[in-house]
Amino acid sequence: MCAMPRGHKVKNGYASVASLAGADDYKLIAKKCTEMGHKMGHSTARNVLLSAMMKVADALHRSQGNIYTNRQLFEIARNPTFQSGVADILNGN
Amino acid sequence: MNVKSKLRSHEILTREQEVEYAKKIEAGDRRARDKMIHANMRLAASIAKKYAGKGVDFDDLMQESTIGLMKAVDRFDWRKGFKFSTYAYWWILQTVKQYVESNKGPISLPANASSRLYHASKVREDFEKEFGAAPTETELAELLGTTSNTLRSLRKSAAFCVSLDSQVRPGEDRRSYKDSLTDTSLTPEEALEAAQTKKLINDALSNLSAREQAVLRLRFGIEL
Repeated sequence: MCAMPRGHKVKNGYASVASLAGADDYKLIAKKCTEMGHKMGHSTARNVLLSAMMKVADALHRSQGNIYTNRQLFEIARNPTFQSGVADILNGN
Repeated sequence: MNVKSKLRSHEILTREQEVEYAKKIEAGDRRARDKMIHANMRLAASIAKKYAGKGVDFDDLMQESTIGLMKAVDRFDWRKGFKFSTYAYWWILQTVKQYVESNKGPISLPANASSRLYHASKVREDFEKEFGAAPTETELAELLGTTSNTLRSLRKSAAFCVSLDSQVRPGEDRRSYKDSLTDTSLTPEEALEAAQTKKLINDALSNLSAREQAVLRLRFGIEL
């Protein structure tokens, strides 16, 4: 297994699901999605989430008149602060 | 006759009189017991006065110190050769202290809870002196041989409560605690911005595939 680059966690942190009631981890998401008919493993679940977050980030930035490259959108989408911000807004917090 | 003059109306006993009364009390003389209690009421009052203004009523303190005095009278052993006041002082002090500790907050704490809290603050001080940093909740609980949950509930129960309507500085300032609270609700502009952001996100979500929506919903624990 490849080790996490030094300082990665300090710089980016991890988006945790611990504080969100009813939130699942990727393994559980993969299992539940497979049961729903969307067959996937835990890494696919993560990639699907990132792709969805990229679409959300793109829509948000376009509304502000900013257009970002896919690479930039990917960086925004994987940012735990962005993810928890979106989750908070959707949860009405 | 006011309380002060009532207290002064009872003469202080000499050592010989104390021994004489103690012997009578041992023999079951109720009058001697009353006399001994009355003669030492000034001592009880002086101890109660020390604890006045600590969040409990003075009349209650006086009552508690009298209870302490009565305990001392019942347990005094004249054969040991001490003056009664030396012996009674500690009984009165203990009773009063225990009462103040248990009743100074809105929640009455058992005596052992107060002493545990006191012990916790001592341990914390010692830890800070030794390591130059405050112990974490878990470390402190471990040092005290308890759980952090218990420690937290103890602290919560002993917390000092203030009415939001009471004045911050009575007499000087008319402002109440309620006036100094920060309004954390959103301004109309912020609320509008939040609503717009939510609408934007919802629009973006509606364009996602069923698979993406399912993953997002499960990941964030939301209903889409």
